[in-house]
Amino acid sequence: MQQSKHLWHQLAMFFRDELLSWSWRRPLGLNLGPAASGSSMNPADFKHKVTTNVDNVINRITGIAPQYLSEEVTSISNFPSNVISQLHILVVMNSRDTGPGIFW
Amino acid sequence: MVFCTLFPLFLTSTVFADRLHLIVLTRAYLNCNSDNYFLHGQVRMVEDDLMYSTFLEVYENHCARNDREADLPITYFKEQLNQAISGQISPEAVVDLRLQAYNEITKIYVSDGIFSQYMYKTLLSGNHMWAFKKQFAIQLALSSFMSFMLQIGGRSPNKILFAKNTGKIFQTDFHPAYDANGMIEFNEPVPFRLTRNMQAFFSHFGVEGLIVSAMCAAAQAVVSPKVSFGDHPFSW
Repeated sequence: MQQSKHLWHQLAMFFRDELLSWSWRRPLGLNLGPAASGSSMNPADFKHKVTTNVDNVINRITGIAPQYLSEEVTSISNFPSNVISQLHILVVMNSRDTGPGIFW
Repeated sequence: MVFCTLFPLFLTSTVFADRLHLIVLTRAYLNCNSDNYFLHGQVRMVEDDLMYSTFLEVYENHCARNDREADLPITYFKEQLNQAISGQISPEAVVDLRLQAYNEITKIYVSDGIFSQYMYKTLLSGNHMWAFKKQFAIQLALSSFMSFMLQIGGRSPNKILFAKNTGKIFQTDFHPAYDANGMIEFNEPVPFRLTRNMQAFFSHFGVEGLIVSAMCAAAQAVVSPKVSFGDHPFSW
């Protein structure tokens, strides 16, 4: 899964918890118009609030993030996992042969 | 707080972020669930550490050393704006008056070297200072990035704690505020706190170099589309 989707879901969970807590903290007797308090909040409305807040945050981040990803930046992430595991095995075997002094 | 603990997972996804050692260092905490209607699980036990100070403590320390009342700038500001409170002058003149009062305060009461002086007296050597500055700048950048990202305001000096030995930063009441419709409410003119005292401490090189690049790297790491969580070392 792409990291941007992970970020979206993590932020959605964050705002879900925050808004749930916020809705319960509001005074029960206070007339706050269309946004009902706590237990009577409409699920669709709640989802809309979460989605809007998440989208706003992501827009803010993308607004300041450098848009250009150089080859160097992306190169390590493009390594296939089997290459990483083979490298790991190679390093472990090498350290067994030569002793821990290789790392010093 | 919860997002702060998840946030580091996004930060090691680019080489640039890795090179800057962008790691969010938070204090250990424990959520204590409560059945109390008014608390709703808001009780949280946070690790205590004597090495942590707030920016307010630094300022109060400076006032004590100079035998000066810590509230003097506020009193002076209120005195200067008495005319504005009584409605005798136009809104444009109020802005000028506020700026004039601010400039006077920075000249007389709150100089830009208070934090630098405190840290020079606290840390043992130039090596300690260099290590502290570097770590503190990165932590401040990440903290400021979080403030910007989630539009968290109210960052008064008593809410920002820093560790004098490690440069870690911890902020209290660090959560967004919401309006009546459940949208984030943020009315402050600046997205995060970067005052003259911080600028003087880091110098131009620290601000333009470490802080700006760390914030950019954090933003890039968070939105980077290339890396999946399956490749993250934590998931091995």
